[in-house]
Amino acid sequence: MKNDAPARPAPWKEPRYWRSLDELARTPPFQEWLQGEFPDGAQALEHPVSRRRFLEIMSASFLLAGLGLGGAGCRRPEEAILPFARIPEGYDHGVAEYYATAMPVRGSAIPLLVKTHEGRPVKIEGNPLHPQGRTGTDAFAQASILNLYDPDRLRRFTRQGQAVAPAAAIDFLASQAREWAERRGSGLAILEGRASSPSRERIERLLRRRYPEARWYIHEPIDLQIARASAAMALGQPLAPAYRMDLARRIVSFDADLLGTEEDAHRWIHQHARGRQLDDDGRDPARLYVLESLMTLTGANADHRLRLEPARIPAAAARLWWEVHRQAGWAADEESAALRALANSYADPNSWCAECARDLVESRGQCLVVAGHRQPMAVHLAAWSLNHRLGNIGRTVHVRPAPAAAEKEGLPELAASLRAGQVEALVILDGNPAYTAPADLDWRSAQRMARTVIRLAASEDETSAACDWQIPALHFLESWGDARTGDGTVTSVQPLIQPLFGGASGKDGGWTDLEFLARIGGLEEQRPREIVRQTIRELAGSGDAVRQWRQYLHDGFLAGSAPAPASPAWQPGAALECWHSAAGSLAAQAASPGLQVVFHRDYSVDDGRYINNGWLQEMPDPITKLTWENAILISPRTARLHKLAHFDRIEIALRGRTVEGPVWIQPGMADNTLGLALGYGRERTGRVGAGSGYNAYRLRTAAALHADTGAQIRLVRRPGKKDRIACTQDHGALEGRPIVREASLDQFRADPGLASGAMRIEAHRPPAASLYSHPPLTGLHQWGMAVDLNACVGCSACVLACQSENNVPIVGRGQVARGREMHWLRIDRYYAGPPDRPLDEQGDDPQVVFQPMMCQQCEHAPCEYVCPVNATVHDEEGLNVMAYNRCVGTRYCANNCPYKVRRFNFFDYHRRPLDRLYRGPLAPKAPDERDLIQWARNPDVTVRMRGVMEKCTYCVQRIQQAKIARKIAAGISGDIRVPDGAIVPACAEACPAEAIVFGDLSDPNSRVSVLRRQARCYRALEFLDVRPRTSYLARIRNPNSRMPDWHEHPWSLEDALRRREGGRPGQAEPAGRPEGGG
Amino acid sequence: MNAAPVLHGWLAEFATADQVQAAAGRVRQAGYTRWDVFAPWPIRGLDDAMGLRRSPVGWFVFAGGALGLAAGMAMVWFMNQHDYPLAVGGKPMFSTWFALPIAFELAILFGAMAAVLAMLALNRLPRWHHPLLQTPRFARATDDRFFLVIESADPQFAADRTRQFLESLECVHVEAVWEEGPCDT
Amino acid sequence: MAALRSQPLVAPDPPAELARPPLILNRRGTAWISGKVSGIAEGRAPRWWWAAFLPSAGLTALCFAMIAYLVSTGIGVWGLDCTVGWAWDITNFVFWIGIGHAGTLISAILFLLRQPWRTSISRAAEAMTLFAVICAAIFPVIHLGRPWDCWWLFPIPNANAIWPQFRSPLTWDVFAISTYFVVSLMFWYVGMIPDLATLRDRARTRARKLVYGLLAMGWTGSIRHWRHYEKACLLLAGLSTPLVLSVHSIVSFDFAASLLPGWHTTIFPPYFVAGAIFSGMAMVLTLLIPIRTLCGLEDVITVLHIDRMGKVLLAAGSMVGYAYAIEWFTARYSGSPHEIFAWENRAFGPYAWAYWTMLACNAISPQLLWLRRVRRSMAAVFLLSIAVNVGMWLERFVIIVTSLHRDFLPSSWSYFRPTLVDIGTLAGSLGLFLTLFLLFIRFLPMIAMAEIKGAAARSGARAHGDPDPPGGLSG
Repeated sequence: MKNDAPARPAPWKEPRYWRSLDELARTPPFQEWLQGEFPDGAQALEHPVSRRRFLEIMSASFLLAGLGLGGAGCRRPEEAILPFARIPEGYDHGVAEYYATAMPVRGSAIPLLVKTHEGRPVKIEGNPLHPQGRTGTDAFAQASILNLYDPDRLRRFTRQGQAVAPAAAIDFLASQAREWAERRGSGLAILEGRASSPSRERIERLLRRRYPEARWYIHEPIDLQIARASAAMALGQPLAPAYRMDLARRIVSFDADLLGTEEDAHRWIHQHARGRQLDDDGRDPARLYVLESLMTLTGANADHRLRLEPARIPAAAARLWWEVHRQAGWAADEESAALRALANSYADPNSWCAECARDLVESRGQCLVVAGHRQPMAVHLAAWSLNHRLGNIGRTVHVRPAPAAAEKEGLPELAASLRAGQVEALVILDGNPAYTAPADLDWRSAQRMARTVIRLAASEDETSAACDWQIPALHFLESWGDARTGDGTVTSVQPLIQPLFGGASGKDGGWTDLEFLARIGGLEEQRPREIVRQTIRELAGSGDAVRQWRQYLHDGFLAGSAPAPASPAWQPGAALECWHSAAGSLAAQAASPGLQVVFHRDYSVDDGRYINNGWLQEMPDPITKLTWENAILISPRTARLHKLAHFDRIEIALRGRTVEGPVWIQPGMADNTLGLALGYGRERTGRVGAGSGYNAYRLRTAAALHADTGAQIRLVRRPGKKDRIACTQDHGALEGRPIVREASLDQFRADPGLASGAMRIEAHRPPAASLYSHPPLTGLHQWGMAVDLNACVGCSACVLACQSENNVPIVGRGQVARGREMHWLRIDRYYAGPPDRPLDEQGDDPQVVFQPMMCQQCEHAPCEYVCPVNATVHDEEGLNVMAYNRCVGTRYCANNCPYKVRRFNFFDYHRRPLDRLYRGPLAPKAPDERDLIQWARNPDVTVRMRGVMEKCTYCVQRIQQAKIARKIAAGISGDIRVPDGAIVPACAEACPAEAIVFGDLSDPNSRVSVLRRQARCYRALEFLDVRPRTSYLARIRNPNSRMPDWHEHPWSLEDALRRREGGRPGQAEPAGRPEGGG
Repeated sequence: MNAAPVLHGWLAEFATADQVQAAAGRVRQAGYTRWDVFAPWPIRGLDDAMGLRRSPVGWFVFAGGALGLAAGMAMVWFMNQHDYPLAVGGKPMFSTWFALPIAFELAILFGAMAAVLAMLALNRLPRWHHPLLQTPRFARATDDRFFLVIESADPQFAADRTRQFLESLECVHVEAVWEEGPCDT
Repeated sequence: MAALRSQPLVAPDPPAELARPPLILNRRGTAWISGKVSGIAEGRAPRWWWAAFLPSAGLTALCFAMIAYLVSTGIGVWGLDCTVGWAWDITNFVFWIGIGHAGTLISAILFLLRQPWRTSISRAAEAMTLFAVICAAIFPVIHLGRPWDCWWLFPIPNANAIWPQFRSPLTWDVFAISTYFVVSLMFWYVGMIPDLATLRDRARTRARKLVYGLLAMGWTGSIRHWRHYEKACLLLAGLSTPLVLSVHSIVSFDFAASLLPGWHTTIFPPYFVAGAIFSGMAMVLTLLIPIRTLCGLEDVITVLHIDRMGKVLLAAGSMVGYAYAIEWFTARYSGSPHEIFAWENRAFGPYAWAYWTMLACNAISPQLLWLRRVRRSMAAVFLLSIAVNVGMWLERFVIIVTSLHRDFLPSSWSYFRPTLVDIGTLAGSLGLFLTLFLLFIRFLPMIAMAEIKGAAARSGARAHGDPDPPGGLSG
């Protein structure tokens, strides 16, 4: 059995991604290439596509090898390995290669450097060369690699749901294009999402010329474009704003989740961390004021936070405007008159706005006011007005000219034209309108009014049902394209692999948006690569086109393509008009009865597009720590009022529509408000996303896309056993334990050791003397890590980077609910309420702290000495290393780990479908799933079987690679010390805030050594004398002493300082997830 | 069965422990050396009455225990310090303290095994055959009766005289025990 | 000299009020003992035996089914999580190991203390020890993530060329448990040899003759043999005494050597030993009280025995109660907020129900045994012994789970809930234990006949000044 030749897949049958060598060898191009003059491919390597083809052959051979895996024995399958007969030049087997590309996101893009192994993209990293700076990535970018290997992607061209040959679609579109061209495009409607691609703009211009009567619509369920639209309105020309959070000393956010869900959040996190830095020159960290309804990441990182019902935020913003106006002593003018009524509708009961305004006025030109995408235009314009008046424009907020957005209507208009029978052919380019459209549009029936619906689709979803033609969309890692990053730089999107489901030629795998549009338009050039090349040639202007192109692909961006910042004049007209028209209704809304509702972008699934991504689904929400589903967020006070407890199933009724979901009591939420995350509760999606959460889109109307009022709730039932929510953190209070250290800036300046000093139990640290001798750690390097809690905002990009780098499995909702998540790196989120207030009120306005927690690599590791089989031991460089194949799984090490960072494989997560784990060997994983996910794995890291303990290793594979590389480079010189910064663990690499620093502690000048000498450096649970190699830098809050919510110490510190020992467990537990109940 | 039966000795049955104890004293005084008493439980003082020395089992146990202790220490030292030293939890490679539990357990184990093996060896057990076990009356030796056997191998043994001597004791019954085959069938 | 020796020294009879009560009632003679005890193993199995055996065997099958499911599917079928890495598995392990201490305690320690009353119960207690150790030994193996690699814990050269790590209390456990099992087995078997000879000599069928003959190893009852035999038994008892203390001390090191608040405690070794004696004694009572009635052994396992075991139970229970109090005291006195929290979390946290039930069962309910009436009431002692069994299981659960579920970082706190497989495995191990025990009483001498005869002969003669030693009574 074991030595049988692996079964060969039947060619051209599902699953199609098997592109065996055999299959490849039969294709004409391959034959042609074989017969070529230089069949060893030396020339072909010049050509990136061909180079990838080589790697394709490689991966095909690996696939053949992988086929043996299925039926072989349970532990060590026999593998047939085909020799790599012809090795492409410059190719080192087993050595990863990196390509620059970018992930397009709405109106922006994230520049990336993607690591490929044997032709498979396996890891996403930020592109450090990009002019935006080393801004890391976000969690979505990290997880996007899993979307590439998603077995539920749309794999076939379909017509009326039946698979057709791609040629049929090509012919159909060609004939349609002729027909449309004759009719100048009348009856053609094109629906797309936001995109920043210059090529797409160019193609669209061509299409508009060809089809002048075609109508263009845009639909983005969560549209972040309002920042640009408001800039254009306020300043009178198409502009894209760019904040300089690193330069701003005072930042006010009107519900802008800059550190979480706004566009380019990773950039703002990067800048925020810079701005929060405690420099040696005595510069104080920035101060962040946030007005918001939900508890967002930005609010969690705020120094002062004002929670308000969504409808009252515009009034509070206006009030703040007014206070600034008053305190700055500006003369009354039209603007102040226009905002007066709105401002007066918020009373500013504790003069929060007044004091905040004073701080702004005192830091003119060094402050920044930002409004979030959920806020109406009036608030955005108020923010622009403040920025303008306080002299921030050009200092802390830059604007650069943006390409003029072409005139496009929205989904309601499209629905109306569909119903009016004006649309004959509907082309859907992005998105899933049947799921994301406002509920009052009744989109599904509207879509059926079109005679033909042609769609470029990434997966089978709700919209597919009413589509005539569906073309599989390529993943960006398979695509030629381009995009503009937030700063306007043209950034390359290049394929790292041929279309996965495209057969040997890659032709049938799907189209990129460029090719799709080109075929819709019947353009002559339909090859996306050529389209992009043409665009770049046009953008680059003069010069050696070939060289520019190569440089562009190599660097991943077109140097100098970012437009210079503009300095347009303030145009009050539009703002006045907006304020006049909106002020009345906003003021009325603020007073409206009933519960208010906020629809928000989810940190894990965005607007629903990542629902089938297991990594993102299992990524704990940075605030709630929920996984795999959304809940109805509600403040503790409101929950008490309505007698609701965690997990209670409630029904929300809003404007005649209802939706049911579980309650999650969220500390810091505005009272009287329900937070509904969009993107869950999909009816039709892949195997991962099915059955998670409820669909909040069903309550959303076109008139109230972000917030609504007048909701009613009704208890459906108390939670049963099955209603347990998969949350990775049960307990949110620090219990007065000095694990996360914080101090206020004033105290820190007065006593730098306060935050990191010995307090409570830490004061009882044992003396350094030991009763026995400790074997010395003799390595040349001594690795260590420092985590700056002042920089970390909790965004969780590191969690996914670690998951991707280290082949960390996902375990599924049920297992997370059982407390078996596998993340090697988790972010602990603690709430601290004012300790002097009653327990009931502690969750009202908590302070939030985040602490990335991974293996601390203790020198006296308590996990090691309890292992009976020497499976976890120390290496000479201070790493606590794990020998997976030695582990028998006693779990003693995990029990004895004070940081609880060891993870146990309770099941064969890699081999079993997650919904049938309990069937054990009776439920093998579906072959397509197993094999595709296998492709996403990092070959440098062992995949662990069940029954084995695993944990963070500081990315030991990267350390070893760097050491080997250094040894090779050192040659005879013998200087094998790895230079500082040469090793970047996956988490540090992904961190936009550069909060995680790794390096050699034996080098006193390494960054990590320098950080460890800082006064705010401490180690968690140091009193245990386990001597962790990871240290933390205490968080320094910068509260304004004039603010009503000012407190001398951060509450966590206050609690630690004043707490008498003991105290009943469970006290001060604003997180309040009920445990127990045994 | 084919061979001619050979007399193993004379078997005297006693009803009580005191009787057999008194009889044992008499037999010893009479100068017999190859004789034995059988009882369903150990009768206190009878071994003294028979003039038996202290059992040497204790010396074996001591040797076994000492060996176990040394083996335990040596094993831990060899495996963790000498053959494959690994840095574990910042603790020393070898210390008598963490070797002690294992060395202690091995001392007990070896000592206990020495006790049992020495007992069996000294008693020449296990033994699958014994002439007495084929004597039906002797079955009560494990129940409630006491027996005294004077073997034919005794230098003083004389078939009739020894039998008469035994009958002179306070016994219930005297009979011959044969080496081969049952004697009275 | 020789004459003097041949006359055993007889101590003068104590006055009547100091006389020890008889070990065996109704002046039962030795032949009666042999007949009665052997009869249990010889006759047809009574109906109650089948009534007890069939459900036990069913539970045993359940045990193996659960183990098969666990091993084939993964530890995840239990309710453990990344915070609570041990729960019912190790609870069951410590529970069974604790029960496994009574046999050796009764046999060895009471043997060394010259307590003749132990003879009636020692054999059954020793057998119980072995079966409990077998049940206990299952759990450390199956609790492993990869049980098929459990032999890596032994110092056997293997493919990884790595030796075991001897700083780990788990490695000590391996040696302690194996030694304990081997020594207990030898002690039990050696002790049984004369009784097996009795069964051999009483055997009527060829098969029984063969089997018991082989097992009895040719024992004749020679005084020369008895001499070595008694010495070996004495030494085994002497070795077993430190062994029994060390084994549970080492088991307690599994916890005490860690750094977890609630585990990291120096009181654990004596506390665990006291607990083990307590739970073992309770299990002996649970088993013997019904069996003495069912097998008609009231004259051998007398009310006096139950009374004395009740006293041991009371003493051990009070020790355990003292340990609970000391735990609280050391937590408070340590000044460590983690220690204080760990204790308060036990008493008032989500597992308070387990803590207070444990306290009621273990520390409070045995106090009833101060009353002579309670000690002499079979029903009361039986119920108390059940309560102690439950309480001692809960004690291990409380120690293990409440310490783990809320340790240093509140972010990783969790709440353990057992699954049906957890419950099935525990029930199954109980079934395995009962099955083995029922088979034992069915086929082996469940009371140490030779010992009890000897003890009765000695003490009986003294206690009553009986001119006619018990041996003669049967005549």
